[in-house]
Amino acid sequence: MHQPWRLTRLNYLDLGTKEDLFLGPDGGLNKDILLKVAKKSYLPTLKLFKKLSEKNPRFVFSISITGTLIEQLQLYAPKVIELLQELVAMGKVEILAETYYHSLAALYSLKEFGRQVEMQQKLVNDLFDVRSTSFRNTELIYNDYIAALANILGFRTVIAEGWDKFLKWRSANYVYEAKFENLNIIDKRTLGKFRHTEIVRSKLKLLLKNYKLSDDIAFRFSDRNWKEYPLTTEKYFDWVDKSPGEVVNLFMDFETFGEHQWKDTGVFNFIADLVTKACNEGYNFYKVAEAAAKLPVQDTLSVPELTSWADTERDLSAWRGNKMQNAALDGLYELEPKVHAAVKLLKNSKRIKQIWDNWGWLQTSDHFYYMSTKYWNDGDVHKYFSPYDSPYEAFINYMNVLEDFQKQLAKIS
Amino acid sequence: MKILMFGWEFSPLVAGGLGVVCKDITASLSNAHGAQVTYVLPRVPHNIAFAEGGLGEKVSIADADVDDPSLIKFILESSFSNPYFAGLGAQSNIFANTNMGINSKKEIYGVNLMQEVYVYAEKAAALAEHRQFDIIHSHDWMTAPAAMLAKERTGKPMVMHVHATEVERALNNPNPRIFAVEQQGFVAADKIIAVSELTKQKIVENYGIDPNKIVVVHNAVERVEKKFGPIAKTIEKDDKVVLFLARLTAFKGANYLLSAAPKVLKALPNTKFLFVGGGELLEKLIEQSVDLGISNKVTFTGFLPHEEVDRAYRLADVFVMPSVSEPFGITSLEAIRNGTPVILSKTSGASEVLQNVLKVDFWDIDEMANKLIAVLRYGVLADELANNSKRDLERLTWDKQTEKIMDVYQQLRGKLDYK
Repeated sequence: MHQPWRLTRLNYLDLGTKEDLFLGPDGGLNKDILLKVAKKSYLPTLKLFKKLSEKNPRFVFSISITGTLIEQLQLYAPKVIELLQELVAMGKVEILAETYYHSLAALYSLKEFGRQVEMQQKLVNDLFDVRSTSFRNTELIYNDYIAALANILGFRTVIAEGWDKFLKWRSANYVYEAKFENLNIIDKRTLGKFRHTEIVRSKLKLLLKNYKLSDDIAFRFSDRNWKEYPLTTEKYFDWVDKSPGEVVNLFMDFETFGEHQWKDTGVFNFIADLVTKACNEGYNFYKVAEAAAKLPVQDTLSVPELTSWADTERDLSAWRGNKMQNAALDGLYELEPKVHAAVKLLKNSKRIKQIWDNWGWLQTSDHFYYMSTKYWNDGDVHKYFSPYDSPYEAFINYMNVLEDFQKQLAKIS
Repeated sequence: MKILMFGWEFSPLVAGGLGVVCKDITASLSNAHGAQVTYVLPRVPHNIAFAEGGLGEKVSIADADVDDPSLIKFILESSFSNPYFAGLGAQSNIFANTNMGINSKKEIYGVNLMQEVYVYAEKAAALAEHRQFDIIHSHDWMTAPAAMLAKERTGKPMVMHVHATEVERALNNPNPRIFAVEQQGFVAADKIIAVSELTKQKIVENYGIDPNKIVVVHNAVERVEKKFGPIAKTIEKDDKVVLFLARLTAFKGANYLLSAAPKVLKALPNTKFLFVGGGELLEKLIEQSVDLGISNKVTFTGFLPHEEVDRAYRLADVFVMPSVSEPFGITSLEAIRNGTPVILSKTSGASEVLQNVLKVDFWDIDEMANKLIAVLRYGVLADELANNSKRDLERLTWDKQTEKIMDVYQQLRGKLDYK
């Protein structure tokens, strides 16, 4: 579950004149989108899941939620948080850890990565009175290095995309043990400062998304050109039964329910049916932590190259695929020492918070996603979902805001 | 399919962009789709060679002036006028030079353009009567009377190809005579081809034509691999060059770019603005640059021949087309072909088919400056735009576009067969 703080539209000529750099292009877009998604997806889905779990006590699930979304919910739709709190209190939901700002910090700054995970955990603890033992990185970006990071931070389980490239002949339907890269002592110490448990386990469990069965619901559900359209629970259970293994991991964007797949596609009915039927026919629902604890480990699995759950390539090209994105990311993370230096010099706590907030919000992966030319290039314009008219406009606006922020830091120093 | 095409220009006999487009269309129809085209020009000087660029064997250039010598009744005066000087300007011109003698390479337009148009109409229609063909295809208003007359005399269907309307050229202050000719043409035509959705809209809104009669076929650009020598830069190495290339006439919006220039210069003092093209607004623009205090950063080159134009594209770090209303804007495609990133007015036909360009409202000076500053400062942005916009060109070939024209021909010829 995630929403970014979208940037204010900032003309280079207006650098230094805007009070708030995160108002969204028309000044109110963040709130508008949040209200819309809450109405179409967050509220109906959580209400439905609550009802389902009351009727079917075996139904449980996991969610991962970002700090930026919680901030917006607290401002514009606090009822969503209330519903989540109820579900957590009922023991029906496991909350996973992730970076507070839904960022790529794991690839750029361990200090920042650790800070963001700790922040998210603190917020989750404050709101839901729990601490996560399972971790997912932004957009399921994962490899042996990420596994090592999750391990240092004290997590027991990590999830990733079950991608054939590294699975090869293996099935995603088992619990695996993650292979982790050996970190050097400095990195271990840097990151170790941010963990909450004393115990760092020697093993880290890995759960892999079954992408076929997940994407059948998340992407193909309402596609009339899909040869399996329309999807029925009979068909779906048939496929589940025919899949080898112990567990089927359905990982998807929360907005699948109601936003990516609208209510009138029947997706709510489908999932209600699926849950009910599953419970009636003796299938078990697991939270991530439960599956990891209860099911046997099949094998150790190494994932040398970075993968994600994005696009057909399942790599990092959605955020780092072109020159603009890389220039923006590099420019952003170059500012880290300046941010730290600046806040040390400030006395006003409100201003300090503003600097930290802006620094974090600038890191949200969505900004770089908007600059992607992957589909734009080939005339596939309808695949471009963004508050901007083109990836180039996204880049220009981001760099203007980044420069404004950088000038603010320079002024403080 | 036999086409009788009427056009006032044909590359290399050009005054603006029309001649190149007409030639490219004709070549593509012939080479890619096997159409047989007879292209009738008002006058063909002896020393012009049309063979360059591979027109195909099926194209013949007819000289309305001489192909049927028995019908010549007038001797036209050699002088200049420009059909692009729209509005009241069509009656006046800056190259007024009557009785210049036979220097006909550049004299495509006589001083009394309207008279020439009707003379051409007679001659072209006469030519038509003595030829076998399926369709009459005429380009812009100058050839509309010819097409209407030819249609009347032969009964063949008429396609009117609109590259620009008087309303767009004259910024809503149209010359009534030209407007009337266009109007008549639109009504008489069996099908109208417009070079953009924008132009189609103008035709519907201003001339009251049924939109179903109008087919949009965007222009394309010929893919040419040219070899260039090193460019002699009189501009310093660190200077950035912003290029404007168009006639200096109101609807091309040069003044808007000039207004944005001081804001760009404040952020990037090493920027030079290059205005290539001649036109009636030259003096006014020079004055404007002086008033803005940036005249040492602005260069006006006047009209440049084609080879020099390509150099200008390559010298530029960004190409800007700030047109108030541009029916298409092939120069933007030419800039892309030369590897230069482009900033386009949203009210241009080209912006309908180009994705990897920056788009801006011509009147939004601040946003124009914002985008200029970004392209000039961030090499990665310029690179991505330049490289990716070439892919836009790959999708936009003349052969694809002329296929749509062939469809129009087939439709019209098909209707005849049922008579």
